[in-house]
Amino acid sequence: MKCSNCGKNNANIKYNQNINGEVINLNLCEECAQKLGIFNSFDDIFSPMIMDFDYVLPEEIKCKNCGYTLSKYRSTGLFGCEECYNTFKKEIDSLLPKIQGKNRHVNKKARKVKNAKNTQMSELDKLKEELKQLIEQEKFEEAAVVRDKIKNMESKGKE
Amino acid sequence: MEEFKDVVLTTRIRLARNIKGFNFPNNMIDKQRLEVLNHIKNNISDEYTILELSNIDEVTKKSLVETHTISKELLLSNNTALIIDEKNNITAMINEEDHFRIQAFEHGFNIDKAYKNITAFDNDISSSVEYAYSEDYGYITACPTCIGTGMRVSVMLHLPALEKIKLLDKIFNEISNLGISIRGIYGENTNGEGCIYQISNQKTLGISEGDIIEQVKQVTQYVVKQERKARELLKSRLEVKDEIMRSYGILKNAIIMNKKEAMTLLSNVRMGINMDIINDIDLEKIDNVIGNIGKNTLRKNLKDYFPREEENTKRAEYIKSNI
Repeated sequence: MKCSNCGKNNANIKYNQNINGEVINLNLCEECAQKLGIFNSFDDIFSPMIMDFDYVLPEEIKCKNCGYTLSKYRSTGLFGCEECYNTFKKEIDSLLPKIQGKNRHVNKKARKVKNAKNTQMSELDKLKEELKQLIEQEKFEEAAVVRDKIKNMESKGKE
Repeated sequence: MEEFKDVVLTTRIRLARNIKGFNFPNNMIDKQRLEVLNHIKNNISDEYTILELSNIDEVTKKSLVETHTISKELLLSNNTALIIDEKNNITAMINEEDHFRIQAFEHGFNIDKAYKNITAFDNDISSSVEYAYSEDYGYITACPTCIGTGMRVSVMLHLPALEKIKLLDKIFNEISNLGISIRGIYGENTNGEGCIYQISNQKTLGISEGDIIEQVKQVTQYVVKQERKARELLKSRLEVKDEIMRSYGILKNAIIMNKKEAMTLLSNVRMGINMDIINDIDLEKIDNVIGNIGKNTLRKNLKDYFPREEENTKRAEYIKSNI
């Protein structure tokens, strides 16, 4: 989306102003936002009291199971769940040779569980189960929240 | 192996494992960590006792850190726990960086025994809890530096002579080219307190467990050989002999002693025993003292929760009565 002030740069700041019910919504580039005195720097982020704006970063790929991102990995050195290794497989396959020399396992296989008392479900399966129960209990408001979470997760998974 | 006791203090093997279907501990809130803990409690054999860290007193916890039984990081989160299998020298941390951090411990150079014990424990756990595992990456861990086998074999080495003749850096460089890392006993960026260093495999992926073991064995044998040569070289020097005997004298007579000084002196005495300069004390005795002079380990073993100001006098007393 182009900046609604200059029409040239990409807009990455959403500016929503609401004074006594008079609503202004603008999409601005950082330069214009600064010119208009809306947004000076990140340090000023808490200073304007009546303004409410979001800084929209380019969409980053998130792990569909745990929501982890590559930038989170870069800051912690850790991934969030086993599914991350599928989500970021391409990046991991080029990262591993640098730290491990290789990117494929060569050893024994994990043993199959013989007598697990509980089988583990994915986050998604857990939510689906929860939804079913909430509907049975006729807790429709809570069910709607869970349903939206599932929709959200599934749509992310398709991306 | 008995014959390496002059240089090798202890052997450890660590396995990193996670349970399928749960996020990694760094990406969980307390409630989810509790779910992991309960999942483990409900599934593994009743033979194992699971000690929750929240039920262990402060002194014992810190002592467990001092003796390398648990990591400092384990104390930082809630719903962490420890499985202790004393018979087989196995401990397992629950909810550290991974759901399981299993560790096998042996005195001296004993990789084979540690490997046998840890494999048996790991097989037992994996028969009741399903691990996160992929064909491509092996055992899945939170940090990609541990993935694959999840196995780190480490050997604690006493290298006073190499340190004295300033050959350590050269040897460490050679070793790191072979995929082996070396560090002081309290983790990275630490010099070897008391000339004690830990060597371990860097790589865990794309290499079999057997090859990792073989690699660490060979490098250990190489370093042991070099340290022995260096000791041989120093043996004839009077000032070295003098330093060793002075150290022995101070340990036997001092009233106040901080940990750093104690480690330096004990290291000298340990070298003296192995160079046949000191003959009236057992190596095991010294190794035992070296392992037990941490502040909280002293408190725990003396059953005396002395205040901080008394630490150095208590240590001097303990050393005197144990060597």
